[in-house]
Amino acid sequence: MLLQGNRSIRASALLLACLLALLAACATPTTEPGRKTLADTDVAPGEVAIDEAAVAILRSAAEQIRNAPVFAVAAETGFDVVQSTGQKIEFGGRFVATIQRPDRARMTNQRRDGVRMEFVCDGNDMWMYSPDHDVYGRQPQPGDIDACFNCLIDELGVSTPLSTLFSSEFGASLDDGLVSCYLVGEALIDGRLCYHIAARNDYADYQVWVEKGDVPLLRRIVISYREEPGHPQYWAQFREWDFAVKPAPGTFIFQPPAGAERIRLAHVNDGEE
Amino acid sequence: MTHRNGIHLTALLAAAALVLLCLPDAAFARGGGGGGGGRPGTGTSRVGPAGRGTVRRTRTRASGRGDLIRDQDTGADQRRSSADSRRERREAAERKRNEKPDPGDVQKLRQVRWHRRNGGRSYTVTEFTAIKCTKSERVNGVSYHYCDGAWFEKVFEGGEVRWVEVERPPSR
Repeated sequence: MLLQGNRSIRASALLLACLLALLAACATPTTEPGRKTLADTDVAPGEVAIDEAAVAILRSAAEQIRNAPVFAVAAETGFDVVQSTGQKIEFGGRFVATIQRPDRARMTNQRRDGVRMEFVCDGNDMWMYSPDHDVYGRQPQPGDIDACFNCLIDELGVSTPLSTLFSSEFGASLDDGLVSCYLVGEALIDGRLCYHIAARNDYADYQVWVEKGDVPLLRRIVISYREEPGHPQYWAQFREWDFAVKPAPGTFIFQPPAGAERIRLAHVNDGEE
Repeated sequence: MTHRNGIHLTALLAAAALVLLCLPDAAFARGGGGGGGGRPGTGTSRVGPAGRGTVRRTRTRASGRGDLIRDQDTGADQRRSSADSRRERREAAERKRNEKPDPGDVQKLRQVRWHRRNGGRSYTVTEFTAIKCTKSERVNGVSYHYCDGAWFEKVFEGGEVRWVEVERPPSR
């Protein structure tokens, strides 16, 4: 009887030990995969760990785009939106742009839900067209591509993530706030051998894949917003760079389709006065 | 036997309590926390900081709807920073414009104003189809619809087509 009692006490103790171990596991904070803080890295806050060779690769990729008088590119994009529940939902789309410096641009964007939009900068005006609703708008915007995209973003509140690529200053401020930058290694992106570079500034972590070879083409970027709640990511994969493109006549002239209705462009500050 | 049963009962109660303690974390880990919010297709936000796709913290508005997308608690600082950023960008653009023949007075070209209702409603095209409209007017090439007790106009807002509440159409 005593032996039986001891056995049952040992069994209960074992069960309690298991439960305590389970409790310890539950008490450990759950971490999202990929979540990083400065404390998780080898780079201490304020410490600069910059591989100049990696920076040079990024710079050459930026110069390739910045110095091109004309080019076309297509990209697949995606980005997380952290919902009020904390759940991350990814949106994205396909993006095609033709750029002719200093002041011509045509972009089409198709979201994954099918919604399409077109933008044209012709040096005098910025045009916006919705093929789905057959409506267009015009914003007088004399100036170069930078002025056109600044108008789109700042005045019209249009999110145009890849417009940074088309800026005449793309990559010029690469060093500003750069905390670390190094070569992770090599990787295949769409079958092309690329340098894989990881960098971080005072706001975001980002990874860039630049094709190896004579022409340092940007093939993929991933940006992690570590300062933002939920650490959302933005990514873009570039598929069709063409630096020898000859834009067809009329590429940068917006001709409203017959029957299309002209509507206004709401400005960010409308209704606030 | 009574003693052994008592120990087992205690252990079982402890197990149940521990399982209950662990449940909230487990639910969070599955993304199921938050009281069942975020149902697919209902009230899902499409706007967030990652949508900007830039490695700089220069944008504070995600869309033309005036959403402040980061640091709501320090909104004033963010707005100031955003205003500074916009001013710098405008000044840079202005400098560039001055380097070449000025194609026109931008401000003059933008004098055409419209009258969006302060704090008024804004609907996607799909949402708007569910609202009953009773009349419409076309003034100076602009179509106005009277729906649910207010006037609406179709515009591009934040890069998409939306119906926004406006003041009554100007008299013809």
